[in-house]
Amino acid sequence: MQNGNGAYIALFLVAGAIFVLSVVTLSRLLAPSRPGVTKLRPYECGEVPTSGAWVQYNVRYYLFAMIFVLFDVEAAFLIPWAVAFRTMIEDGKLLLAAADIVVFLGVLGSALAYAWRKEALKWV
Amino acid sequence: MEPIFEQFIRDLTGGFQVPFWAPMLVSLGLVLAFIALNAMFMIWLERKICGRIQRRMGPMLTGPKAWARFSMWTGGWFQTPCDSVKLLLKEDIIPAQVDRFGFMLAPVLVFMAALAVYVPLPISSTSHAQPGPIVVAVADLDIGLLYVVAITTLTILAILTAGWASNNKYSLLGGMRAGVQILSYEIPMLFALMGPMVLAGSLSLGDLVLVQHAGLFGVPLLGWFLVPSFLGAVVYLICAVAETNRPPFDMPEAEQELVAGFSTEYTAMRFAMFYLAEFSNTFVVCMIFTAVFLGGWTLPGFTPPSSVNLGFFSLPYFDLLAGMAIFFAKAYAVVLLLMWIRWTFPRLRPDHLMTFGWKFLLPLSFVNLLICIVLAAIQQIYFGGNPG
Repeated sequence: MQNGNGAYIALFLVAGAIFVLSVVTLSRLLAPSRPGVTKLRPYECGEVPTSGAWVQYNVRYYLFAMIFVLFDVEAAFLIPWAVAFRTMIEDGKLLLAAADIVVFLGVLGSALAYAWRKEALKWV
Repeated sequence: MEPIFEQFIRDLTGGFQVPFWAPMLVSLGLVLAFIALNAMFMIWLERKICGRIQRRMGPMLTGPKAWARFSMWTGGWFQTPCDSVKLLLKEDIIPAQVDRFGFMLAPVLVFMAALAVYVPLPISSTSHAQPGPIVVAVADLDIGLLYVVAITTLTILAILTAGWASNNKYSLLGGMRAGVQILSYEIPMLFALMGPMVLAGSLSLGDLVLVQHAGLFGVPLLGWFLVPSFLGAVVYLICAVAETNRPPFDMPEAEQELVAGFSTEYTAMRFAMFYLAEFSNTFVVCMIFTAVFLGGWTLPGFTPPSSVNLGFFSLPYFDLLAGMAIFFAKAYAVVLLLMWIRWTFPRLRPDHLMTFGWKFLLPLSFVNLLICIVLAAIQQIYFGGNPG
């Protein structure tokens, strides 16, 4: 990475925030504002809401989030390997590179098979 | 784009040394202007295409009448600019029961991600007055592909925040569905992109394009990763549609059942930010697809000259302009494909969606990775290393 590339990322992130804030401020200055009780109520197709929406939620979503974390971490380990693969062959380490990927994909594949078998991938 | 910008200004002014912040601000301004104008054009195009697919005409009345009479594709040009002005003048409603901080934070987050993802995307290259072909991107990061995948994940955070902070049952459902959908399709997407990573041995998007241009097994036509990593390209495209919440993967928004899901409570400019980011992200995935699978700004066996002599005037940076034209032509071809998919397929059911992602796309992307590993090994052993 060239020096200063991080500055571009930082600049773009900050500029994104500033852009949204300034556009919203501009709209606040230009647009009318007449709040009322009915207008500020949560939208439920005209019904008066019976309670808030901050309730205990289906655990199914968190199960998928956990499986995601597992696979994402594995993927993060695989990316350096993927980039180094051709260099490793160049250095004559074809067998080592191949063994690496067999072990990694084996672990991943069996994790997927386990989750599949335990019906963790089934949406209910 | 730093070296090219500096060279360009030096040529233009005869040796003026630009300060270090000038290329940064110029690229930021260009990207912001591009996002706004391109989103407006894409919204217009989307409405025209969905109109055509449903045997309608789409917007026709806003804009010069003479153009509308000429053909349906020239009518309604002013529709999206007028819509933007309308959104700017709409009342900004913050409902009484929302979590105010989260409610205000979500549009900021979603647009930050949408803007920052443009940093490593390469649109062209030039050899004009340069030692070698220099990639034209805001900054061609070494970890470009990983960065792109990482930064787009910020969108999940924004959507979950929006869904929870709205304190509305529709929004909560939409936010949770969006979260689990994007998470589930992130994994096959990452593994689908790993095929090109292995083939190219690099994460820089500029390098990926240069490797594709060099060809596979010495054949330029095989070079586009669409060929060796075909399954990966298909998986990536499907995941890209899911990641951008476009139909048929639009459960999070599902107008007919969830009243626009996580954005139910948003109005005016805050809503516009979600909309703008969604269209911007759609174009970004098309740009990534172009760079990673379609050879970016190159055509097999074609190298444009770095400057063209028109007799009376010598046009510098011709390869840069030609590359940009090729790149955007390809990207818009992918955009048209996504729009075609969007208006052709019905929405998936949530359980079908999860099954499809985990039990079909993920194994398919493993297979793709194995194929790419074998091809990369053959290329490396029998045809030598990369030019990049």
